[in-house]
This record gives sequence, C-alpha cells and structure tokens, in this order.
Amino acid sequence: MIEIRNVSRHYGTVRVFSGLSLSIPDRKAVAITGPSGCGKTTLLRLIAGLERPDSGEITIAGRLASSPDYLLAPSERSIGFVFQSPALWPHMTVRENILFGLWNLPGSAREDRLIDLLNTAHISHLAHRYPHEISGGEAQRVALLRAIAPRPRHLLMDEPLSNLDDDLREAMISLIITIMDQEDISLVYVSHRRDETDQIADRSYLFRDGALREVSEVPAPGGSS
Amino acid sequence: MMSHRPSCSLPLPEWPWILQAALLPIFLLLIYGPLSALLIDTLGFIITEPDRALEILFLSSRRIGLLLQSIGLSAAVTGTVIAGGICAGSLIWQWRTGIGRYIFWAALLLIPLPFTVHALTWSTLLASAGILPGLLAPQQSVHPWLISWLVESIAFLPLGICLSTLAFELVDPDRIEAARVLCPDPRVFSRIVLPLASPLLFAGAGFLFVFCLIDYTIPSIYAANVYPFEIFAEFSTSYLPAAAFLLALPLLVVTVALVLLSQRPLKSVIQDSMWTRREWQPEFLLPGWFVAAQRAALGIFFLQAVLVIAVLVVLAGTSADLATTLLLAGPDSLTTVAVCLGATALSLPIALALASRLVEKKRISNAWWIAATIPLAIPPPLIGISMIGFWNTPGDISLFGTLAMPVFAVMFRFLPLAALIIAAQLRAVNPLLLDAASIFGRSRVTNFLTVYLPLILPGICIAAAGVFAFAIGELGATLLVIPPGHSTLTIRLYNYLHYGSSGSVAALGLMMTGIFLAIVSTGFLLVRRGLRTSRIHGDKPA
Repeated sequence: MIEIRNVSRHYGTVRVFSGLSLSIPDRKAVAITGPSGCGKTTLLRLIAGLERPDSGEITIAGRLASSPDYLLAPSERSIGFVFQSPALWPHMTVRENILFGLWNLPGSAREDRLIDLLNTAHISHLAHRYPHEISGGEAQRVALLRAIAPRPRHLLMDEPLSNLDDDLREAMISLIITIMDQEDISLVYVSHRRDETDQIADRSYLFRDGALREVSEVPAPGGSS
Repeated sequence: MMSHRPSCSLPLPEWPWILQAALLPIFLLLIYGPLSALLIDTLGFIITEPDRALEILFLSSRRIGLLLQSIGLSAAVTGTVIAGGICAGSLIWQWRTGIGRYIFWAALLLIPLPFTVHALTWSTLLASAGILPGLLAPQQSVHPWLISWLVESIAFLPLGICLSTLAFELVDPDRIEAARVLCPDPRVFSRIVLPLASPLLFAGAGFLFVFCLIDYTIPSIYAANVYPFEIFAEFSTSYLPAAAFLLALPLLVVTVALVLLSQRPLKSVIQDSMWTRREWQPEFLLPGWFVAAQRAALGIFFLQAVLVIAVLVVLAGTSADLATTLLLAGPDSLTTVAVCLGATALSLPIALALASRLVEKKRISNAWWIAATIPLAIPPPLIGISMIGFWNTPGDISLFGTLAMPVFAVMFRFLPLAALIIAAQLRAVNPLLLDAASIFGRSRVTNFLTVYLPLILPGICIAAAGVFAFAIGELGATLLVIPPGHSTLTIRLYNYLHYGSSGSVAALGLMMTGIFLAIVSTGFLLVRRGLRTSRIHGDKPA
C-alpha cells in the first residue's frame, strides 16, 4: 500500500497542494483526475521519488519512502512509471529499452520476460527497431512494457494516452487492463478524461485547488477487483 | 515517432533574398578568397619548383616527431578538459535551478580569457614554486610539455565545463526520470545520461582538439615547439606562402578530417535537439569517488578564476612603472578595441545569414556546414599567410597594411563560431511564435524587427560577446597581418612575456582582463535579460 500523509508541495511561492493525505491499496486501480495544473503530475512524481515533499511523508509497503529529510531512491520503490511522452531512449532498440530495468536478472530470465511482454503487446516484430522507426502508439506500448518489465508492485501512469488518437487509445486501454490482470499490481492513473479513468480504475479521486475534493467508487468493467 | 517540436520546415521568416545574396558572398570572399589564392600560389610553386616542393612535403623524422608531439599534447589537453568538464558540468547541471546557473555564467565568462593572461598567472605561480627558473624565463622551463599541458588544460577548462553542462541540459528530463525508476543512479548516469549527452561532448571534444592543435601561444611561451609554430617559423624565414602551406599540409589533413567528423554530431545537436528549459533538479545519488571528482574539478575552476585576478592585481600593484606601462599601452588598447569592435560588428550580419542556411534541412545546407566549419581547422599562422597573399594587391584601394587586415583575420577565425552560436539560437525559437507573427503581423519587416529579432537576441548577444572576447586574445593570425606601427594588447603581452618586466606584463594583463570583463559582462547581462524576456513571452519549445 502507498500511504501519503499530510504532504505539501510548493514551487517557490506557488502552493501546489498542502496537507494532502491519500491511501492507495495494493492491487487496486486508482484514478486521479482534475484540471490542468492542479497537481496530479506532482503527486505522481512525489510517489516515484522524483521530487521531495516540503512536509509530510510517503510510505510504500510500510517503509518510509519520502519526507523532507529523506528520499528513498526511485529505483528502490518497486514502481513503474509511464510518462505522457514515451520517453524511450533513442540510442537503444525496443528490446534494449525493455531490458534496461532487468539489469539484475540472469540472461535467460531476462529474455523469457522480454518475449512474454512483447507477445502480450503484440509487438514482437518491433524488438530490434529503434524508437525513431516506430509509431507514436507503438512507442507508448513499449514505454508501458518497459515500466512493468521488472515486475513493480505499483505502476504510475501520467496521462499516457493524451497524444494518441481514439483507436490507439482504445487499444492501449485494453492493453493496460490485460496487463493489470496479468501482473497483479496496483495502478495510479492520472488523466483529465473521465471516460478513460472510468474504463480503467476501481476508484477515482478528483483534484481541485490543491486538495482532493471528491472520491468516487467507479464500477470499472475492466478494472482489477 | 512523434516529434517534441512543432513541425515547421523553416524556423525563420524568409529573408529578403538580396540580403542573403549580398552577405553570403562576403563570407565566401573573406574566407575562401585567401584560401583559394594560397592554393593557386601553391600549385604554381609545385609546377615551377617541384624538387623544393617535394622536399618540403617529405616528412622528416623531426617533423613527424613534432606532429606526433603536438597531437599528443592536444589529446592530453582535450582528455583532461573533457573529463574535468564532465565532472564539474554534471555537478552544475545537478544544481541547475540554484547556484549552478551562476557558476555556468561565470564559466562562460572565462572561456575567452586570453591565453597570454593564463600563461602569465601560471608562470608566476610556477616561478614562485621554483618549478620555473623565473617569471620572465619560461622558455628555460625543464618540463615544457608538462607545463604546456597544465596551463592549456586550465585555460580550456571553462570551455569544457560549459560544453558539458550544455550537453547534459540537452538530455530530455523525462528520459532520465524514466530510467531512474528502473535502475540505480550510477547506472542511469553511465547508460542513459552520458550516451544521450555524447553528441555534443564528442563534437566539443573534436573541436577542442583542433583548437589545441592549431594554436601555438601557450606551448611557444614555455618553449614546447609545436607544429603550427613551425609554419610561422617557415614563413618568417622563407617568406614563401606556398612553402608554409605545403609544410602545414600534414596538420591540415588531421584538423580538417577531425572538423568534418565533429561536424556531424554538432549538426544533429543544432538541428534536432530539444532545447528544454524545464525547471527540474535531478537529485542523483552518485558514487563517492565521482562526487569527489566533481568537487575537485569545480574547485580547480574556482581556484583558476580567483588566481588569475589575484596574481594580476598583486603583480601590477608592486610595479613601479605601472603608469608608464599603461600609458605606453594606450595606443595598443585603442587598436585592440577598434579591431575587436570592427570584427564583431561586421561578423554579426554575415553570421546571421550563414546561420539561417545552417539550420535548414536541405541538401545544400551540408555544403554550408562544410564551408562554415573548415575555417576552424586552419592554423592561425596559415590564415595570416593566406591573407597576405590575397589582400596584398597593387593598386590605390589595397586594404593591405590597414587595420582592415587584423579585422578580417579575426573574422576569418571567429565568424564561423558566431554563426554556429546563432544557428543554435535559431533552433531554440519556437516556430509557432513565428507562424503566429506571420498570421497576425503587419508586414515581413515588422515581424522581423518586433518578433524574430527579439527572440534570437540572446544568441546574437552571445555571438557578439564571443567574437569580441576571442578577438582580444587572438595572436596567431593577427601577428602576421597587423599593419606596421600598430600592435594589439595581446601581441604586446606576448612580447613582454619574453622580454619585458613582470610589472608591465601584469599591468597589461590586468588592462586586457578589465576590457574583456567589461565587454563580455555587458554582453552576458543583455543575454540574461533577453532570456528572461523570451521566457515571459513563452518562448518555450513544446
């Protein structure tokens, strides 16, 4: 479980949020929606350890992960992160991008995991291509596979579908749901589109003016239960 | 894959063709006129005196040794500077939202500080440590190559730091953060950050190597005979431009090949990079030995900056004939300022026209890239020699023997650099802003003056400050073309370092540093103001 307790974050004199508390249970898909600039992305970055809170603390699986004086390295949080842009490494092939996070596994286990993932996403034929040789939708699939390759306990997704057209969006949602079922992980999904979050999440939070204004249970048809 | 930048075939408004048509031929005339004349002269020399030409072309064991020693010195300096630059630059980059930006500006300010001033500082320190026999006898040094390596490395360190910092800045933060959640930071740094920063690092290293290889200022002060000095010496004794060119050929093969190799990554950086200004600060947890190296490199940089000023002030303050020296150097100061201002003012419009060609993604831009970067591979003595042959024509309107010659020499050397800086700035402009201006603006001229020019002003200011500052320290080409009866501060300082008194040297060094800091700081203040303005108005690549 991810526990966020009384966390505040400011950029200079601008308050993003203050005294925020939130629990994200294991094996649940949680969506966070809200208008642009409300702090959704900042919250994900705090959970991932890419930023430090100004006050409060974040624990992951009962272990202190972030406080103003302490920051557990992002790679030690058992977290996967999918950004708005695919952010693939252009000097590595699709295969190398996905394998990057499996650096501490033996060679055969890495290859098995890679084949499984590529098959799940139906992109085995792209394994040896470079990011500039694949489409935007394919790149976002690779980004998703790269994030879940090391079998993280929590997956964070920051508006991952915002640059895709409707067909690609539907295909990607279906892939996310499949992966959620297969991988048995919790998901924190940030988006400003309710139709997306309704399809993916078990529970939805609305961010407004730096605070959580509304919590709604979503009858998610494809979300994990 | 999707692009991070709005698509736009040409990132600038179309120039009036007549302006392009006038400025680009001037560029070609200034640089390729003298080079063509030298080439024709050399061909004539080969035809008329083939035996002599063969004799010069034949690489004696002494010249092979000299070339290898020069290459070795340049490689050692480049390796040291890039390693130091990566260490200090990565620390500045990690502190990018805080003190890092001020250190970056300080390093940028120190890049063009003349070599002679560095040499003076380190000669003083090495003499006081007993390593050199005396301040004004550096040529009696027992370790000429070692001291040349030390002083040159320290002189180039600010350049290495700025290059590395910029290289790290160009790496997309999302790509780094995507890696940080998957792997420990040291692995992220070595497998993601360094490879993604490598295009600019490689290009920088290539050009730095060439700069070291073609410049003889510091090695000649410490009696380390390097290949470019041999070209100068050959011309001084034979006064045959063709002989000097043939002698320079082996060096030219190396430098031109390197410049062409370095051009490709530089081109990709300028044409394809996403120049981000996202406010983020990576909190990397790097190994202890690397953190120690980062701090040591930054410490050396600070030490160098402080020592330069301190040594000059102390030496000048103890000089009895300080006033006399400054008085004597008055005309030289005026000549220096006139040459530097002239070269800067003439370079900017031509550099802007050239830069607009460099950022185009057309086949013809490859030719412009070659034309723009080849001058960086020419040893300064050869520039001076080619200019003498080209401009020394009979007639009433000959420019030879006037101050136009050192102005052209400085332009030959640094105009291409200004064009590259401006090209980088052109790529940083968000094309959507220009599209918006073309839709809502009154006319092309109004758009150019009110939208386009303010957006590229930071690049123009940096290019202007860069040309001016590098011009102050130019020696190799100016020495050959300065009109009789004139001298620049650098030439006088170079001569004093051999023959003058320490107080005079220090006073001149202080004067040069003062002029340099005043002009360059003004340029940088304008840039910072320009950057703030462009940020307020949303000049952010998407």
